[in-house]
Amino acid sequence: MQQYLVALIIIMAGGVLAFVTRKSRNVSTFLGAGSAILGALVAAWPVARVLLGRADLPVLMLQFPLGEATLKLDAISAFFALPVLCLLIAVSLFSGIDAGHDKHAYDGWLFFNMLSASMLLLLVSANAVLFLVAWELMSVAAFFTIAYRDEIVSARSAGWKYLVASHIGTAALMLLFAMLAAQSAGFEFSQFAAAQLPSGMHSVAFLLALFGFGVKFGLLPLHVWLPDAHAFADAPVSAVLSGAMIKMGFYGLLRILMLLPAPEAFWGWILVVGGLLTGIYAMAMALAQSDLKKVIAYSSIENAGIIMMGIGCSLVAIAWKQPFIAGIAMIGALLHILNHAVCKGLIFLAAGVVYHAMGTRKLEMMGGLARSMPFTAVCFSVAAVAISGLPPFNSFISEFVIFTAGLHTATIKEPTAVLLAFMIMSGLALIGGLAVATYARTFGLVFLGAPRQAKRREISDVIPALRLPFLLLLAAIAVLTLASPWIIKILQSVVLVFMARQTEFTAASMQIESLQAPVVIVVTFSLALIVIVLAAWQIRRRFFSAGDRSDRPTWDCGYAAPDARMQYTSSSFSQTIVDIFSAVVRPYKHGEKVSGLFPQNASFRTDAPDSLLRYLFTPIFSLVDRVLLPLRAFQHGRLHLYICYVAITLLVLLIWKVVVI
Amino acid sequence: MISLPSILICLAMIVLAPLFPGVINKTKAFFAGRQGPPLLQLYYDIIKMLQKTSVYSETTTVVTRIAPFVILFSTLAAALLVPVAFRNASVSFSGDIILLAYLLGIGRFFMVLAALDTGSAFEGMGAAREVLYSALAEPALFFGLLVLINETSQTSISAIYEKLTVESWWQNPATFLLVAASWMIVLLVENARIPIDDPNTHLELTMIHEVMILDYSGKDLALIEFAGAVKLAIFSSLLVGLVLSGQELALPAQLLVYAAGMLLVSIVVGIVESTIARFRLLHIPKFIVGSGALAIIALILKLSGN
Repeated sequence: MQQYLVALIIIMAGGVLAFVTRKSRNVSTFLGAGSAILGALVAAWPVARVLLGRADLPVLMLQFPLGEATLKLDAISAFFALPVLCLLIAVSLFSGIDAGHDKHAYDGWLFFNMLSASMLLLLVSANAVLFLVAWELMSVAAFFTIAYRDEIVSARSAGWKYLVASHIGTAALMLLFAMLAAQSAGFEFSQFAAAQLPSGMHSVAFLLALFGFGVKFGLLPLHVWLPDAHAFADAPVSAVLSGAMIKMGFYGLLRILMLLPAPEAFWGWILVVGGLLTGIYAMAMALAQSDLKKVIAYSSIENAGIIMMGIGCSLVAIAWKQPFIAGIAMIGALLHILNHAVCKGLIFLAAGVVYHAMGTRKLEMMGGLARSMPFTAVCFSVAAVAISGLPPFNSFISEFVIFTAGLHTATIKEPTAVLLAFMIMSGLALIGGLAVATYARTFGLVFLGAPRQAKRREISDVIPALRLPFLLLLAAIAVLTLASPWIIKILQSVVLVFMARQTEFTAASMQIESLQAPVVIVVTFSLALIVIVLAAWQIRRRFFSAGDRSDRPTWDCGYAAPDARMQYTSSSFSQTIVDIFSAVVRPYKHGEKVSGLFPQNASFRTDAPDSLLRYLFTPIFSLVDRVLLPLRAFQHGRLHLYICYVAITLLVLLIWKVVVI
Repeated sequence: MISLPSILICLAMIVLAPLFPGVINKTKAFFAGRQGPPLLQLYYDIIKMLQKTSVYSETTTVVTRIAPFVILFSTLAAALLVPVAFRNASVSFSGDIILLAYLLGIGRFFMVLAALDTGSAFEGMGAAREVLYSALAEPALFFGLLVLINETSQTSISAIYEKLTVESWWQNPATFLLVAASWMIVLLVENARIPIDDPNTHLELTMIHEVMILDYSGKDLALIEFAGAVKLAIFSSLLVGLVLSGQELALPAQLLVYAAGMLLVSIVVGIVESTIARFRLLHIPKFIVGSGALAIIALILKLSGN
């Protein structure tokens, strides 16, 4: 435990030192990135020991001036530390190397390290006050990393949007913890768990937690901050936000669930339905986007939807006393959290490289990048296949596990069970199909075909040193794929810790072996597919390619002068799909029709702002704005009057105490 | 579970797969009053194309070159998971049909990428349609599956078919008919047949599958055509297994019934292609969603019968 704390201090101290030395870019980068990597490596040891069940780390009491707080690293905390540590190493390496040779690269180390350290602190906080402090530190640090390019208006507004959303969520969490604390002996989580709440309060607590943490993981309609924040933040920041910070929302939710007694079935149903709607909505929106990083950001929301469905299915199964389904659904959700973190890190970094090379994130401007950036193209394609949940990579395995939970639910001969299975299977299938569409479109439009705009500058691939973080993440994908049967076994122990309060859920009742065997076969198929395809392709290339030629233009039905601008564009690719979802996705269309025999220049552009932001939140917030406008009279900037407010408040409270109580 | 005799039968199915498009074409020729191409035409085509060299567009990258192998081998891997001739599939395990659907998914993903790789507007059009229709067809396949899982309490497609009996058909005839109809539509969608797609036309604007492989030639095209035939056989096998499982027969009779079933599916596809016109593109999503709705009705019937 002390070692974990040392890691936190290293990361934070490195961030502060990097800030102090920011005048000298190289020193600052070395301190910031170096301390983050060192800290992550130091923290990895206790985390690995807890996960492998080698050690029960002692609980640590911290004495603060206003009280004491417990720090505890249990299996759930250790599991959620994995994506944080993994991304911290890869992303710091990327940023560090990038900042070394490019003076425009991200170098806001203070807040980056603060974000990482506060996430790690959050995971071990076993005290509500400390938890909230860590949560707020994380939220505020994230705000500064998002709004790092504060000279850009859209980055400022994205940061602002995030801050508002995040604080609305925190308000719900404060309410939740206040409610729990009122019923128990103190602010420690162990005291919360021991408290006897009236039964109706459990559901209220769950709903508050869902709202508060849902803002972070993007539960519909609380996701509206997410696309902009991920799009306008720098790539390394987006990678950490999407890969790690979103996961903290799930951590919080699971942590609160552990404090409450057995879940009600309807909690799970809310999560399943919410996840289903979130996933489908996010994919429909992703297809309508023309901004590369927004597409990827919406895909984060989609994956959060899949994870919600897994957790929801597990909660329902707990309420129904179905240990096997509860176990594998939760294992699938946890595995997906890990898989998504790694893939999203890889794809955001690759997208950052593309953005940097092209100077734009507009899909309509790209095309043909696979020729000039082969390494980035390979990384992006692996991440794209993986993240779409297709074999042979890791995310397919976690989706397969959640699917298996759905299949087993369908064997229960109860209409409600079949309804649950129906939602999970249809949801995963539809979301998966749309994800395939999204990523085929994104990869195809960015890397394949012919360049869509005249070359403005020479585009080159990442420098050799910068390949290291990409190779690390590719290796992580390989490990998560190949070792998945073994990882499932470890996750089972994590799930058992999560379900510790449900005494009938034991390792024996979960029968994890009947999940492991199919996963072994799936991994075998995946590996065989990769090996055979690569071998066959090489054989064809070496021995059966005599006479092949590749010097002809693409067949365009006899048209003699095909042009790169005749290619399908991102909006034309997704138009048919977006039309189907026209009830929720309402793209703006700008442009005029081509008319006449000798038409003038015409242009066409589509733009799809988030519908919920446009039709739900903007009206609400402008109403709030109007109603609260008169209150601005109280906020005049005169300090002595502010002190007067404080005095009046204290006086009123005093009178209230004397008179009423 | 791995079954060796099933692997042999599965290999036979793979080798015979190009026969079924021949049967479809013969049926269509019969309805049109023509003699039609020989039954073995696809074999001839594949052999001829394998001897030719390939021409690639200068826009293309390695994706175009590797895609035929991904498409072929993912389809062959999927064939290992499908129960052939009323026996357990070569490899069967809990959730095998999920892997089957997603193996076909990775093949489709690469076909779409290869289409976008050429930079042709026509192929982009086909790719956009393909991803939409398959995204809608996959849930329909799983809805039918839910009915069967709930009926048999099994989670592997081989085990499901093993448990299906003639009695289960008699008890819920409407349910099973609806599932079969829904899967028939999925078969038509996934294999790019009329009324969704037209495998014959050369009018790129209306095509989906054919237009995506417009720039393929020679050996690569042979592999893709072969994979397409295997995919048709996979879906036909699923349908035959659904309709004819549960017979207590010796192996030779089983093989005969299975072969007859496969031919029947091809003939039905041929009849559908001869008698129904291709839908307008805008109506296709409704048609596919309709197939899902059929399966949902089947599911509700099944639940009300429990």
